Amino acid sequence: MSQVSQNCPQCGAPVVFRWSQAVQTTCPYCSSILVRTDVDLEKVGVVSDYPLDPSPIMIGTEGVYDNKPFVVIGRICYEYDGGGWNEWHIVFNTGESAWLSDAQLEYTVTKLLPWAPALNGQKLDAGTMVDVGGAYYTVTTLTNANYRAVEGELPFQFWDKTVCRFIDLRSQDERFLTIDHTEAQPLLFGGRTVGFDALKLTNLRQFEGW
Amino acid sequence: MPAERPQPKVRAISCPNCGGSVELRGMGSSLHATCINCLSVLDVSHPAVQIVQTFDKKTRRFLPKIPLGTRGKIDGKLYEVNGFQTRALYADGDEYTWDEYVLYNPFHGFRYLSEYQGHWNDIVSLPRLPVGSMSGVTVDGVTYKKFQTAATKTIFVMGEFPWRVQVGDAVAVEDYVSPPASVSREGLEGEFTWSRSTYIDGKQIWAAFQLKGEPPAPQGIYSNQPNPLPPASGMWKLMGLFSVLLLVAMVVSLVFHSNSKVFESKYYFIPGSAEPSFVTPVFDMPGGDKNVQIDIKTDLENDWAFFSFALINEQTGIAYDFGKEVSYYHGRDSDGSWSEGDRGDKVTIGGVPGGKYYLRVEPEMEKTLSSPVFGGKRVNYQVTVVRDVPVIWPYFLAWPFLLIPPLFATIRRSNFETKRWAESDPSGASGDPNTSKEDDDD
Repeated sequence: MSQVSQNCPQCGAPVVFRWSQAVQTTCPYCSSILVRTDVDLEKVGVVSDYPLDPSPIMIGTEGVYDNKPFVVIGRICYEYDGGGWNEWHIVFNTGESAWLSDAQLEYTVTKLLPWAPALNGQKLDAGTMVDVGGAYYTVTTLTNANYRAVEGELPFQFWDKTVCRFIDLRSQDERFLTIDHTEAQPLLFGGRTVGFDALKLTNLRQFEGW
Repeated sequence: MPAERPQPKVRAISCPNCGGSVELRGMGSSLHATCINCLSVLDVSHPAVQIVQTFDKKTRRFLPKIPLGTRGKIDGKLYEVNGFQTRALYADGDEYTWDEYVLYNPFHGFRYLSEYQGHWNDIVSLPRLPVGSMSGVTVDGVTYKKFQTAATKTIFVMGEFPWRVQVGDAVAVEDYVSPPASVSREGLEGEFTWSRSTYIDGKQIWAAFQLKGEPPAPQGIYSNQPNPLPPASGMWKLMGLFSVLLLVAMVVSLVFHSNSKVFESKYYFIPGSAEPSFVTPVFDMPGGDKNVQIDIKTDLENDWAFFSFALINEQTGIAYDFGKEVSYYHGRDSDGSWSEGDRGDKVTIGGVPGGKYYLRVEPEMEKTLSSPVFGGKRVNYQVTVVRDVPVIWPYFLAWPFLLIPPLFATIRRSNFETKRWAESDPSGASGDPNTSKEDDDD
């Protein structure tokens, strides 16, 4: 992975991009949210604070999914009535990127999928069943979450959101779908729930006493 | 160096209700926690702690059997007991209460233990949806039978929880059982979570958490408690095997007995003869102590005859005395033809030593002239002596005894199952459990 280094327009500290396709990052020194322009970095905001964060994952954590090694390069923190969670932005050694969520310390890896026309015009209430790509999924939870913070490299600009709406669907195996209604055009992410051990995570956070 | 976010550690807060100091061990994963001093339920999901519910003095108190903060290994992973709640279920006017423990590991996440009257379960969340069927649900190829649908209520809370728990929380629970496991659906208004419970011996928990004393003895039979009696199928197989062995032994005995005819002769008898008794020529019976069978065949017609025999050893003079009555009657009436008795019979004597023998025979019949044949009645008969006949009746007698152990095991095992299901209430909404809306029948 070729690394691109620039300087933070706020504090002048060097800002390194691990992933060439990253559009946004945060300055590790001053927490400024920086967006890449053609030539330079532009400061668009600042990360206020991170919520109480129980995740054992951090930027730089490495793991394996589908036999492919990945590294964690960024995250979006969300918060809702049932708690907070992170969508960790992970990049595989192939250059593809995906998301690793840690809600309730249960781990799910999802990738952006092409929109499924089967979902058009569907009223997705809890319990609704839909056929997506030949597999049956049932809507299990509808979540209205608040964006709390961002950290590190992201594949898009994401920093001024307020309410984000998610619809989670589960199948009879460990497959999982989530529809992200944050933008006008909903996005579909699909993947599966993975056990902590199966992810073979290294370079994790340390917990005092554990 | 970039400013590293601090390492998560035990967080000390002060209770906004009583001012007491509370330690939070959930590393940021807990949403609600109770104050150890005043048992208020606090919202600890933000740095600013808020009171959710103060402890009502009327609330019953329950004591966790595993103290909060205790660590132990389950499934090879270290967990800390962070939360404890007592829940109640109401059925037929009775209240049933059970305890639940929240186990936490900062990497592996959450796991739960439940205890009802000494019966423990190890509970994990199920990241997939069971498939509904007529009698229950299927997960990973295992079918779980519907056990009950119940309205439950949280009646006591202590410690930390990764959800917004409070006293009075009402949840509908549906249990499906396949011992030693069960799957449960919890939730309200269409949003459900599924979990899988595995029955675990209290002694295993006592060992894992190094608890003092003995776990409480289990009372009664729990829904997913494994049947302690082994399936009788093994015993039935064994019974089948023994039946085959018995059959083989029988066949072997048929083959290995010499079953040899050592003497045979035809005689006749006229009642009223001067001296009815006579002796046969001497015949040889080879071998050691073996049985002997004496066959009598007659041409009796609506009559009877009695034969007194003595099998006498020529050398030693030892005699085996025995008698046999032979009778045969037949005819025809309004119901058709009938017959009674047999024209022939046999006697078997066991353990007769080898040697030279002869028979003394004394036939006896009624003198009455009932036969239309002129010159009085006469019976023709034949005596045959067979050495070393195979005896098969003990095999048939033994076989039913083979049935007893597997039959007994089957009945005992099924009694346990009857008691298990006696507590169940599988009635309720049928069809796909993932789509059916819950009707909360409190």
